[in-house]
Amino acid sequence: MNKFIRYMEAYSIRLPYILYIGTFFFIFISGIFFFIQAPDNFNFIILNYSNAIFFTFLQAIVATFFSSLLGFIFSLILYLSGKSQRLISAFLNFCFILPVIFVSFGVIFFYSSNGVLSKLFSLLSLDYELKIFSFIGIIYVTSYFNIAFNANFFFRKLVNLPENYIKLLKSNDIPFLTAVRLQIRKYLFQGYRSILILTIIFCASNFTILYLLSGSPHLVTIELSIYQSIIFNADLYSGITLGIIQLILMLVLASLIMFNQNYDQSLNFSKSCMRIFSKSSFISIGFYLILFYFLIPFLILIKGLFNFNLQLVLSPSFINSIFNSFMISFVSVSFAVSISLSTLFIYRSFLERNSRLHKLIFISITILLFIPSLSLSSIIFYLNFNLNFILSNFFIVSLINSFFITPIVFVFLSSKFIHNYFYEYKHCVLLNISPMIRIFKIDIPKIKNELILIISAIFVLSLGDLTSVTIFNDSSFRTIPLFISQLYNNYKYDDAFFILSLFIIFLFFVMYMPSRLLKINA
Amino acid sequence: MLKLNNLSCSFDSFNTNFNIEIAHTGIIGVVGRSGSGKSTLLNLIAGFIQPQSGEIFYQNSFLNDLEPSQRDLSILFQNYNNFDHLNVFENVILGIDPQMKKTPSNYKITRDILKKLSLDIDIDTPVNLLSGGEQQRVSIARCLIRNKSMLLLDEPFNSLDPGLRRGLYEDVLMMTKKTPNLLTLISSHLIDELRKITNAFIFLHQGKIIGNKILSFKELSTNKFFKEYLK
Amino acid sequence: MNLKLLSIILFLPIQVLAKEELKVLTYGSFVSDWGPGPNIEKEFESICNCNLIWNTAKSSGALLSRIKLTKNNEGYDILLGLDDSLIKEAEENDLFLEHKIKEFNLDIDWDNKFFTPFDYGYFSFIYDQTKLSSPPQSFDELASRNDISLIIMDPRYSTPGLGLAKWINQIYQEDTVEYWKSLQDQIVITSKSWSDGYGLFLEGESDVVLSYTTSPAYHSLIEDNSNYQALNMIEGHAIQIEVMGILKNANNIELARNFLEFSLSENFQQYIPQGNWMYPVIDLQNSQSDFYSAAPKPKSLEQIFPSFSEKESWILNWAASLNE
Repeated sequence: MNKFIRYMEAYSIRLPYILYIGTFFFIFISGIFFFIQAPDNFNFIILNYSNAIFFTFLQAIVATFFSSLLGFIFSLILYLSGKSQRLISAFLNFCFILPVIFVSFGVIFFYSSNGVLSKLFSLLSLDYELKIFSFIGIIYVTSYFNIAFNANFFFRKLVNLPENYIKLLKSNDIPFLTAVRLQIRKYLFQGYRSILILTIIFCASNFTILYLLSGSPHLVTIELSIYQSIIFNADLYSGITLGIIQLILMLVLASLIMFNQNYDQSLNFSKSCMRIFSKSSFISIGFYLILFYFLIPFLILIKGLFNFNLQLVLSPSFINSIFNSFMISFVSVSFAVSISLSTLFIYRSFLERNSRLHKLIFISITILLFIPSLSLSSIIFYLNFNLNFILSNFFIVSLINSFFITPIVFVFLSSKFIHNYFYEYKHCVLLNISPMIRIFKIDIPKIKNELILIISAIFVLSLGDLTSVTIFNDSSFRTIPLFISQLYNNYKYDDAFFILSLFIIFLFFVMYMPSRLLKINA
Repeated sequence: MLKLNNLSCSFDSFNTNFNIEIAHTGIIGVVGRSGSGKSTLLNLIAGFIQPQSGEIFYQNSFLNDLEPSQRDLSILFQNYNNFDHLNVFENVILGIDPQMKKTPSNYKITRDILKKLSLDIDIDTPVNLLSGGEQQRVSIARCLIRNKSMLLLDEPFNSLDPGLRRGLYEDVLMMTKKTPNLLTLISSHLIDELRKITNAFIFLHQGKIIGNKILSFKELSTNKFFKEYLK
Repeated sequence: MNLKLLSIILFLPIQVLAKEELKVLTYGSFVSDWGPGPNIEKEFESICNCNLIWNTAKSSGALLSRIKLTKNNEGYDILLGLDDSLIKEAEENDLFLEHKIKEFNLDIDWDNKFFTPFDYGYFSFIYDQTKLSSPPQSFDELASRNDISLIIMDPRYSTPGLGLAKWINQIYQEDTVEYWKSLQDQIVITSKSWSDGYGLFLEGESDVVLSYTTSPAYHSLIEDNSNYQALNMIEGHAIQIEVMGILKNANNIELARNFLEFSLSENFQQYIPQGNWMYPVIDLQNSQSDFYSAAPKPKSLEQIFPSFSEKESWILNWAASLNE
C-alpha cells in the first residue's frame, strides 16, 4: 500500500510535465496533419517569401553583431567604472525584460521626426534626417534588449574574475585592457557561444518590434508574414507553412547549443578589495553615456506622468485590460512554475539514476525557447478553427505565454535544484522521504529565493507581451500592451504614454520588491 | 552478525569480491588506499549500489532485496550530510519524522540528542551557518535518534582539521559505548587516528578484503600489501 | 413598496437579458470615441430596443479576411466598412445575404443586392501648406518631385492603399508598374492602416500622406487649423464607397435588415460627415453645410467594381515595382 501511495505521489508530481509533453506533441502532430489535409489548390511558393526569410536573418545578424560588440564594450566600461556591481547587474536585467512596446514607443518618442532629438536639432538650427521607421529603427530597438543581455553576460564574467587572475595582473603590472585582449579573453568568452546563438534566435524571432516599426513592405520577417497571412489574407495554410519553416530554421540554430548545458547562474559579487577599476575620465564619461543610452526609453515617463487621466484609469476598457493581463500572467506563471518543477523533478530523478535520459528531458523543455510565438500561434489558431473555436482566446494566450516562460524558469532554477542531488538522493532514500514531502518540504524551501525572483521576472515578461494576443484578441479581450497600442493608433499619444508610464512603474515594483524583501529577510 | 558472501560488482579497473563475517559489535575501521573499494563496500551494505552477485545478511535478514530505508542502518558521507537550507531541528528530526512536524515532543527529542553530543546551539539556526564540526555533529545526532543497530561512516571527518576530527572520533567512541549492540564501520585513510578508537580493522586491497576477516593492527602489520600502503 | 422595488430589480436584468443583440464587425476608427459609432449606437438602440455590439478588426482590409477565415464562426450579423473594390470578392465567397431593400434614394448611383453604401469619399494626398508651398497638381509632377516624401498604405492590407493602387491603375493602365517605380524613392513609410499612416504624417514623418479629400475638413472644423490641404490632381480622383452587408449565418437577420434601412436614414447619416469624415450617401447639404464647404468634391474618376483577379492585378503591379 505504501509503495502504491509512493507511486501515485511520484506520478502526480510528474503529471504537469506529461500533460505538457502531450500538448506539445498534439500541436506538433496537428501541424503535420495539416500538411496532409491541405487543399489541392494550395500552392505555397516559397520564392514569394524569400524576402521575408532573407530579411529575418539579415536583421538578426546585424542586430546580433551590434549587440555582441556593444555588449562587450559596455560591460568593460561598466566593470571598470567601479560602481555598484549589484545595481548594474540588476539594471541590465531589467532592461532585458522591459516590454517591447515600452522601448519601441520610447525610441519613437526620442528619435522620431517630431521627437525629442529632432526638437533639439531644430533648436540648434540643424537638419534632422533620421527616420526611425526603417531598418535603423528596427536594429536599434532589437539591439537594445540584446545589448543588455550580452553586457550582463560579460559583466558577470568580469565580476567573477578569479582573485588570483587579478593578483597576477597587478603583480605583473599588466594593464587591464591588454589583459582582456591577451590573458583573460578565453575566460571571458567561455560559454559565450550559447549566448551568441540565443541572441541570434531572439533577434530572428522578434515580432513586436517589426509590428510597430516596420515602415516598408521590404522590412518584413517570417513572423510578420505569418501575422499578415492570418489577419489580412485569411490564408491560414500559408501562415502555418511559414510557421513550420521558421520553426525548422530556429531548431537548426538551437541544435548548435542544445547539448551545452552549462548555465551557471551564480553571481558572486566581489566583496574583497581585489577589484580592478579605472579613474579615467573616458571610463566615467562612457559610464554615463551607457546609462543615458539605456534610459532613453524612460524619458516617456516624464511625458506620461504629466498627463494624468483619472477618467481613463477608471474606464471599463482599461480595467478590463488590466484584469485580462493579470489573469493571463497569473495563469501563465502558474502553468510555467508547475511544469518547470515537475520537469526538474523528472530531470533530477534521471540524474540520480545515472540515466542519460536527463538530456532528453532538458531538450524537451529548452526547445520551447526556440519556438517562435507566432509560429505556435498559427498552429493553435488552425486547431481552434477546426475545433469550432471551442478554446477561448484567454486560454490560448495563457498557454502560449506559459510555453515561452517555462524554459526560462527551468533553466534559472535547475542548477540550484540539482545542487548536491547525489547525496540528497541518498539521504532521502535512507530516511524514506516520500516524493511529495521531498518536493514540498525540501526542494521548494531550497530554491525558495530563486523561485520568488524568477516568478517576479516572468510575471513582468508575461504582462508586457504583445505577440500572440495580436492574433487572439477581440473588443472584449485585450491586454494592457494591446490597449496601449490601440490608444497610440488612435492618436491618443498622451493617454498611451500615461498608461505606459503607470505600467512601467508597476512592473518595476513587481520586479524588485521581492528581491528587496529577500535581502531584508536574509 | 553481518555476513557478506562473494559480494561482487564492477569497479573501475577490477571487480570487487567481498567475503567476511562480522560477529561482534563495536567500531571497525575500514582502511585501504584510495580506490580500493572502501566507499563501494559501505554503499553495497547500505543498499545504494546493487551487487552483480553475492549476498548480504544482517541479523539473519537477507538484505539484497531490501531498500536502504528498510535496512537497520544509518550512513554518513564525507560531505553533504545535511540539507543546508534547513535548520538544525529539521535536519535532526528528519531521522524519525520525514514531515519534520514542529511538535513539542520532536523539539524535546532534538534538544536531548544535541545535549548528549554537547552541541549547544539554537535549533532554529540554519545548518549552513554552523562550523564544519557542528554540522557533522548534527548529522550524527540524526543517526543516533534513528536508533539503528549499524552505523556506516564513509570518511566522514576527513575534511575537518585534526582537532575537530579528534573530538568527533571521541563522539563516535562515546556513542558506541552507550549503545552496546551498535556496529560501526568507519572508513578512513587516516589509520593513526582510527587506531585511537579501535583495534579492529578490515583492510581492502583491489576490491578484496585481505584475510576475509577482521584483523588487529598487529596482524595487519605483517601483511605485505598493508606495509606498502603504510609507506 | 419594498416588494415593488424588489420585483423591478429582479425583472430588470431579465429585461436587459431579453433585449436582442446586433453584432457588427467594423474597423477601429469607426467606433473610436471620436468616430460615428458611439452616436449611431445610441440612435439605433433608442429605436430598436436592442443592444448594438461593435467588434473591430485591425484595419478595413482585415475585415473580409476575418470572415473568410472564420466563416463567421464568431457570430456577427453585419460587416460594416467593406470597400467597393472588395464587393465582388465578397460576393464570390458567398458570405452575404441579400438585403431586400427595394429603393435607394441616394446621392450616388447604387445597384447591388447584397450591400448598401453608407459613405463615400475621394482619395487624395494631404499636405501641410506651411511646409509645402508649391504642391504638385498631377501624378506626373508628384513623381518628379524628389523633394516630397510620401506615406502611403499597403494595398494588401488597407483599403486606402488598395484605393491608391486602383487610382494609379485607372490613370496609367499599361504603364502602372513604371509609374509605381518612379514613385518608390519618395515613399518613406508604407503603413498597414490608414490611422497608422495618417498619425505618422501628423508626427512629421513625411511631407504628404495618402488620405481623403475630406481629411482637411477635420482639421479646420475641429482643430480650427487650416494648414492641412488636399492635393487637387488634374487627372481626377478615385472614388471609394464604403458598404455594409448582412452575413449569411447572422443570428439576427431581421434586426440586421432594420439596421441597413436605418443606415440609409438621416438618423444614421447625420453622423458620417463630422464623425467618419466622409460624404454621406444621402443629401445633407442643408444640415451639414459647414462640412460641404470645408470639403468640396473634386473631379471624380469613373467608379469601378473589380473582380478578385482584377484587384489582385493592381496589387501585383504595385508589388512588381518593389522588386527593383
